[in-house]
Amino acid sequence: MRRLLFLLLIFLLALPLLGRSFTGRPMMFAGSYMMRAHGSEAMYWNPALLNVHNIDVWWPLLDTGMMISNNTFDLEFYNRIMEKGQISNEDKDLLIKKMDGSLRLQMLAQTSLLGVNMGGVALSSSFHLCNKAAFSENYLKLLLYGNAEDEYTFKHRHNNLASLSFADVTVGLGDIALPLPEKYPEVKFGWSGSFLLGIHEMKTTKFNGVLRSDFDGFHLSQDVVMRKGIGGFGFKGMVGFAGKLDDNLKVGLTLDNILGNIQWVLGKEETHYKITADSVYVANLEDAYIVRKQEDFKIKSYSTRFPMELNLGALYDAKMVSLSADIKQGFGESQLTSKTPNLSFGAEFKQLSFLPIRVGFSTGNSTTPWRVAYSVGLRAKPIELSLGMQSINSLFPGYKTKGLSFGFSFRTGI
Amino acid sequence: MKRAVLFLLVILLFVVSCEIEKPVFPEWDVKLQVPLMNRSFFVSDLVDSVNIVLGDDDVLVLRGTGFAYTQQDVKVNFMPQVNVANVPLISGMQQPLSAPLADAQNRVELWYGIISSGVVKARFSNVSPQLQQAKLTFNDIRRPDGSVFEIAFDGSTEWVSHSLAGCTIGNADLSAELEQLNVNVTVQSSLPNGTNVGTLDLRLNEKIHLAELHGLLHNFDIPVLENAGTIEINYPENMENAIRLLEAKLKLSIQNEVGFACEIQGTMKAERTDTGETVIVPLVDNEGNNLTIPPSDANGPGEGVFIIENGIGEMMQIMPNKVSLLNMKYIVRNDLMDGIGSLRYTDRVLANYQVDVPFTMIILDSYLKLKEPIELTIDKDNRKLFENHVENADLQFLVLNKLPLGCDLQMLFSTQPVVDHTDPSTYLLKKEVTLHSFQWVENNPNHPSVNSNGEQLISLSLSQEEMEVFTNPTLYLNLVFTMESTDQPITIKGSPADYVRVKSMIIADLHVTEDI
Repeated sequence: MRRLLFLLLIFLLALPLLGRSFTGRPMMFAGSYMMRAHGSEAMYWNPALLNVHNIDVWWPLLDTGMMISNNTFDLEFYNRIMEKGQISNEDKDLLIKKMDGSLRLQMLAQTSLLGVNMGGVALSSSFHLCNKAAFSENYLKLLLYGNAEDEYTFKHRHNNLASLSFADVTVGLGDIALPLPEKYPEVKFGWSGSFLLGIHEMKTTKFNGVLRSDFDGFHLSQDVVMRKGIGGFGFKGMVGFAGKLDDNLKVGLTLDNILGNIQWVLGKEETHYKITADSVYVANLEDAYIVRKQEDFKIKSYSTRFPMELNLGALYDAKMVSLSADIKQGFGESQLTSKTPNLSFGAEFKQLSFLPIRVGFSTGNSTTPWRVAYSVGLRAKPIELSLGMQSINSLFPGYKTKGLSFGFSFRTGI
Repeated sequence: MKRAVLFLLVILLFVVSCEIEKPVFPEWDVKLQVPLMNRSFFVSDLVDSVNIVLGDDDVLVLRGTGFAYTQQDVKVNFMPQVNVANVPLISGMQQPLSAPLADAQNRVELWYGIISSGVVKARFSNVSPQLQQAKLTFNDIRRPDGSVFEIAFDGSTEWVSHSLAGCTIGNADLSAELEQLNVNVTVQSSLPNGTNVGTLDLRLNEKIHLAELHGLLHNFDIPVLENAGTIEINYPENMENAIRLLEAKLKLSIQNEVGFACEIQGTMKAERTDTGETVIVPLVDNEGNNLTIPPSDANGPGEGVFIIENGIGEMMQIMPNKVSLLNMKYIVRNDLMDGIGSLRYTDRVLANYQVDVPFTMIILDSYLKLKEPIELTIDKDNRKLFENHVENADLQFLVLNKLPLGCDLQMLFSTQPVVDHTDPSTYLLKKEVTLHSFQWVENNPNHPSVNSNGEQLISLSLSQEEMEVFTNPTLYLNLVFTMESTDQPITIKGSPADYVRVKSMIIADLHVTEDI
């Protein structure tokens, strides 16, 4: 039991889950990266920034980001409990308050597979892994408080699991100047199209549960439907615009996930898991009505849609420092998008050109905690090596952080 | 820039300086709510169709049954008084001889009978040597083979007894009473006819046992075997101290194999051994008349069914533990018949009697106590659970009582089997709950312990100290019920609507540790 609890805590703290996907460098700015991207990365952030004068190469696995977080547990709480060796009612209340309905675990990982950008045209490939899970606070209440309440309900909103992995092969064209009158600033246009190769998807599409324990007996009803697909293909497109307002200030706009979906064609299966126990009493367990049923169904081909997402970004690039701000607004919920807007800010300090220092901040949203990013790079043209990390829900990665992310970037052609 | 690098170093310092406590299994408290049971106890489940039955209007009835019978070898003794002396034996003559055959006790008027035992004695004396033959022919007595019973002189001049066992006596056609014994005496000798060749003495004056009798019997009774059909009543858990039963009736079903009408005489005796109380009730009908039963006939045994209520209720009020028939016998009544009757030695009078006691009672201000305590063995794991993890518990019952009975229940836990519920030093823990009757619930619908469905919420809380009692490996649970007394008699019925439904649940505060 002790070992189990320890593993559970490790799992809660370290389970790699979190929402939006980006490779190493974007993570170092907490996602405020639209106007900073260039080369192969620009196809994922704003293809208008593909530059006809640049040549760069994305090397396999050398641009990787991974973020893990949860919304409840931090090291401070862990230490507090371990030090005392007991969980007080105050601890329980605090924990439930932190959960705000559910324990949410998130993980994102993206890594470059290969990319090259030449003359405003880019071709790249990357791997994406995205996992999300949520467990109702009622489970923790049952564990910590017992079943003192009359009824516990479990809804899909607070109990779900989603896992998605895919690879993309993306081609993009950018640095196309829009034919605007001269009195207007120059605005460039770009597009990218990604052929998506779905590797796996697993998702709870239904989760209803009720647990009741009173004089009428113990009642449990749990109805879960899991859908999974292994092997699929799809597409998503992005269009982007970028403009230069003055020598230092650039702004941009993208519309991502155009026609975004993955059609799953292999290994399509739905699992229905149902438990019903009604009027169960300790005295008549042998006669109790308890039904456990698990059924697997082959299902027709289905698609995972990615709702479109609008991104706005701005970059103020001065000699010694660059400042950026991004806002993302999805038009639907999915493994990759959220309807809750997300603001992020980034800064790069360039006093030492060979040693850029970066910080970032993201406000988070209802499903993702706020976070702060820190990074340092080592630049010796034409290459740059960067390392970064994020602190989730805490200014510094320390006792209060609810997750960490790490990024690694190696680029050429800068 | 130096400040920026320093800033980054500070950040890294934060990361590497974090101390992570060694993982331990934390302890915490949870409140568990576990439904234990939901069960309905129907009064009708008590019905076993033997000792507890459903009576009229579904009233629960305690039934005791007995079987009383007469002895199988009924002895009818007929004692004639034939004593004929000095009858001359005249050669060559056939002399008729007759004597009155009346029963010496005037109890038997014999028309026909089969003799199981008995003798006739004859003595030939002063016999002349020339006597060749002397023979007595009993015209009314026949041997088992149908031949006429005869006695012949065999040379003996002393009294000779001749067995009559198996012989019939009287008129087989039952045409008339056998009032006198008729004997023909035949004598032959070598002497001239008319010569006195001897003397005859004849006696038929000893008891003759009749295996079968046709005729009339006077002052004849057939006793019931002693101790036949005694009912032993074992009341559950000292119930006799807590209730008074108000009604009872006796049903007598009698099968008369005897060919005579009979009158029942006797009493029913009820005893309560712990108090010494005894009640005796005569077996008479509700008008005080003796009970009679018709004789058997060609259609079979005579039958009589009698319901006796007078005095039976009073008899059962002492809550007897032994009910028996006392001095019961059947007296033959010729006046209740047309003509004669009959009696064989195998004839019996069989009586099934049934005491029905409806559960209509008054509850006394007393208590019931389990005769034997319930032994509770608590294994090591559970003892550990009670000792280390259960901080307190609340055992809750939601009871729907549809019966007119209520009670206070005392639960006494002790490490010794015998406890005195009035002496706290004899037990470790005493818990008490109250269950009210449905009348009480109807009269107190707004009582805090009664919900809108008429269910009573009964709570039994155990503190941590009280929990320690259950760390003993063996406990004895003694239950003491104090019935809710009633002003009016109550009746327990066994219809589907008469039940007690108990739902129970335990709510316990548990301390969770690594070893739970």
